[in-house]
Amino acid sequence: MFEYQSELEQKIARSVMRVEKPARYIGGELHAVRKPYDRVSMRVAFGFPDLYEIGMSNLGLQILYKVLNDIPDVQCERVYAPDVDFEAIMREEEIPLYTLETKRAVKEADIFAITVGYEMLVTNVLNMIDLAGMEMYAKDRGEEDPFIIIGGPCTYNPEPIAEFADAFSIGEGEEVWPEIMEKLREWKASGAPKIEFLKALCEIEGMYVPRFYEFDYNGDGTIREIRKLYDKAPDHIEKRIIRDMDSAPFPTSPVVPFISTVHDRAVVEIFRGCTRGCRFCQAGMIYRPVRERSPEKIREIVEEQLKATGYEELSILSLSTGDYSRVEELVTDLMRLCRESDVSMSLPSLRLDSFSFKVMDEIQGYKKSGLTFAVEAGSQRLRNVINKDITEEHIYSASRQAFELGWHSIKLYFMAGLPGETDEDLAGIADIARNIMNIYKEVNGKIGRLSIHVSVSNFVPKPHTPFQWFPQDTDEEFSRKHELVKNLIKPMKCVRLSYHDSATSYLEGVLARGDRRMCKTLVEAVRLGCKFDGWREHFDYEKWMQAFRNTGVDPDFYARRAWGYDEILPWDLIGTGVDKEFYLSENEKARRGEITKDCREGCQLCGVNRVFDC
Amino acid sequence: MKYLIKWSKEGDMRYISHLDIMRLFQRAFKRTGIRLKYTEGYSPHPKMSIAQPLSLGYTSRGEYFEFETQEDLDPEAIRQRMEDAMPEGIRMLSCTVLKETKKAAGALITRGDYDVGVRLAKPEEYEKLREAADWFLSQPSVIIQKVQKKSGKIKEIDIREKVRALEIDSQDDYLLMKLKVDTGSASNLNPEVLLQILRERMGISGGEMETRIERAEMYAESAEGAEIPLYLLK
Ligand code: SF4
Repeated sequence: MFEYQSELEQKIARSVMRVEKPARYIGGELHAVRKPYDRVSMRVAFGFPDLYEIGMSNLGLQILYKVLNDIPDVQCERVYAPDVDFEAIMREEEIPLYTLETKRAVKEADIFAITVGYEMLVTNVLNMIDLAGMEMYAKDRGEEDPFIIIGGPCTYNPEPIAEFADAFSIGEGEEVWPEIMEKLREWKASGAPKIEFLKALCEIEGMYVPRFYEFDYNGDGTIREIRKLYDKAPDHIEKRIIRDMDSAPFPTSPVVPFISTVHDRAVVEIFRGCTRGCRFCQAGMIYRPVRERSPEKIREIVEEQLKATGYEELSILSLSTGDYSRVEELVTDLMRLCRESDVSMSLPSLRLDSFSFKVMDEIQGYKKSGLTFAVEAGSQRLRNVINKDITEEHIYSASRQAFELGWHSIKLYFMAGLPGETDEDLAGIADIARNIMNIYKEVNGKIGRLSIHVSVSNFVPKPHTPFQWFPQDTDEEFSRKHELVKNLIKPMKCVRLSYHDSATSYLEGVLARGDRRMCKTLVEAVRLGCKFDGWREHFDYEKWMQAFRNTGVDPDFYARRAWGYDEILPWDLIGTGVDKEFYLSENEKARRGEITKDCREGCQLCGVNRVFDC
Repeated sequence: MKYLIKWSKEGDMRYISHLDIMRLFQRAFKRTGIRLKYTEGYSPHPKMSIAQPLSLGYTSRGEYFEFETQEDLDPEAIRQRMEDAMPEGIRMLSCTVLKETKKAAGALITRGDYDVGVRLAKPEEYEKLREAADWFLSQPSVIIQKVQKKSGKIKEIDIREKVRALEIDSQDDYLLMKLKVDTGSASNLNPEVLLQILRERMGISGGEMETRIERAEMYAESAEGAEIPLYLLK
C-alpha cells in the first residue's frame, strides 16, 4: 500500500493532501502523454508560469505539447507554477519543481522550456527556475543543468529576461521545436560542452541566444550599440511563423483536465493575424500576416476533438472571428455540428451585422452575456489617432437592433491614457454610454432592465507597435482620468464602470520596454517576495519599487519617457517582419490624426510580405 | 435501461474529487457515444449518480456508478467502452443491469469494507495501536461529539456501534486494518473518524501516523434480508 516509484513521489504524495486542489499537482489526465522510459532519449519540461487552471487553458502549450510528443523519442512534460500554499510546502519538504507526466525533477530534463505571454509573469518564471533548484542567471548554471529556452508573445522584447534564458524562440513554435530537438540530438551524441549547442541553435531561424550579444549604453542611458560576441550569431532574429494553417499541427486530443479550468472546453483556432492595424495593438502587428484555416479543416478538427475529449462546449479562437473570410459558412456549419452532438458553442468577437444577430439569437446564453463593443476611445478624433475602425453610428444602430430583439445588456471597452488624449475624449466615453441608454429608452419606453458595463483599461505602450515610442501616463494621471469618467457616469444608474489598476499598468509598461539592465531588478523583486504579480491579491507595488531602488534602475526611464525615433531600441534585434519605418510612419500619421485602412482593402506596405506571403 | 457499474479508483486518482469524477464520467459517456437519459423539467441533467461518494485521498476497488441509457445495450459492451474512455487509474470492473425502480441502488447501501494501511514513526507504537484497537472493541460504546452542519447543535454519536469488525494484520513495514463499518444514509462512519479516536488513545498526532485508506466493497440488503455486495443486486 505504501509503494512509490521514487522518494520524490513519496514526498509529493505526503504533501498534496495538505493543499488546495491537489489535482493540480498530480497529472494523469486523459491524453496526458507518458512514454516508456527506455523509448525516450530527450526530455523537455514545458513550463507555464501561472497556476494549472490558467496554464491548461493555454492553446499554445497544448499545440507544442503535441508537436514535441509527436516525435517518437521525445517526452514533453508539463509544469505549472505551484500556488503559494504548495510552494511553501515544497520549499519546506525540499520538493523540487517537477513535471506532471513523470514526477521527475525539472532539473533532470534536457530542456526546460517556458512560455511567457504576459509581462507580469516574469517573477513567476524566475521563481520556477529557483524552485527547480537552478541558478536564475544562465551564466551561473552548470553543464549538468537543462537548457532554459523561453518563448511566447512576451519574447518579442526578450531583454528584461535575457540573462536568465539560454535561448529564446521568437514567434510561432510549431516548426522550430522539431528543429531544436534535432540540434539537441546531435549535440547529445557529440558529448560537446553546452556552449556548442547554443552555437548550433544560431543556425536555426528565429532562435536568439542572448549571451552572444552585448549592449553598450550612452551617458543618458539610451543604447549606444549592440555588439555580437559570436560572429556566426545572426545580426537580426526574424520571428518564425506557420505558413499553411491546414497542414500545421493542431491538437485533436488535447489533455483534458480533471478540475475545471479557465477555458474548460474544446477549442479550434480559425486564423492567425489581423489586418486592421490598430496602432496600440501588439497582437495586431506581431501575428501578421493573416493566415486562415479552411472551414473543412476546422470542421475536421472540431469533430475529432469533440470525439476525443467529450467536451460539452466548443469555442473558436482568433483575434476577431468576424474577420474570417468565410465566417457565415463556417459558423452555420459549426452550429449544426454542435446541435447534432449536444455541444454548446461560444463565438467571441463577431462583427455586428444581420447575420451575427441571427446567430446570436440561436445560441443560448448570448443574450445574457450581452453585446460587446471594443470602442477603445471616446471620440472619432481619437479613434482616428489610434486607427480603431469603429463609428458611433455603427454602435448605435447595432445597439438599437439588439434592444429591439430583446437584449438588455451591453459591454463597452475603452482605454485611458492614449497618446493625444484630452478630457473631452474621456467625456466622450460617458456620452456614448448616455446615447446608448437613450436608445434603450426609445425602444423600451423606460430604463428598466438595461445594464451598460463600461470597462476602462490603461494604455501601455508596447514594443513592435507604432506607439512604441510614446510615454505612458503617470499613476496620478490615470487616477485623475478614472475619476473624471466616474463622475460623469455616476448619474446614470444603469451604467457600471470598472477600470484597471494603474500601478499594475505602470509596471507592465516598465517591463514591456525594459532592457537587460532590468534583469537584476527582477532577481531582486523575486528575492523580496514578488510573485503572481498579475493577481491582485499578490501584487505588491511597494516591493517592486523597492527592487528598482535597490538595484539603481529608474522605472520612469522606460515607461514615462518619450523615446527617440533614432534610438536603438532594446528589441531592435528581434524582427516581426514589419518594418520599423512602417511603425514610424504610422506613428507620424497618428500625430496627424490620419487613418490607415484595413490592409484587406489594399496592402499598406507594412513590410511583412517581403519576408512572408500575405 | 438502468445499469450499475462497479469501478475502481487507483493511485493518483485518489486526489480527484467527487465533483470532478462526475464530470469525468459525463465526458466519458460523451466520448463513447452512449447517450444517457435526461431528467425532465427546467434544467435537465443526465440520470447518473455515484453511490456513497469517497473521501478525497482514498483509493477504492469497490465504487459504484448507476445510470440510465436511452438505448438498451449489452452491459459488457458498456463496460468495455467506458473502460477505454477512462484515464489510467479509473477502471470499470463490471457492469450489471438494474431493475428500473425509483430508488437508487446507492440508497440501499448499509455497509462498507475498508483496508487501512498504517505506518507509524516508532516501532513500539505498533503495539500501542493494537492495544488501542483492543480497547475500542472492548468498549460497550465510544461516544464522540459532532457539530451538526445545519443547526450548529452538538450531537453525540456512538462510534462503537458503527464498527462491525476490526482486524489487524502485520505486513512488511506497516499494519493493515481490515474494517467493516456502517456505510449509507441511515448510519455512516468515515474510517478517518475511527483513526482519530485510536490516535487519541495512543497519544499521537495525525502527523505521526501515515495512512492509506482503500474502500474494498460496499454492501446492500437484498430482498431476502442478507447483506450482499452491491454488484449482486438485481
Ligand atoms: S504586407 Fe500589406 S497586406 Fe501584408 S500585412 Fe502588411 S500591410 Fe497587410
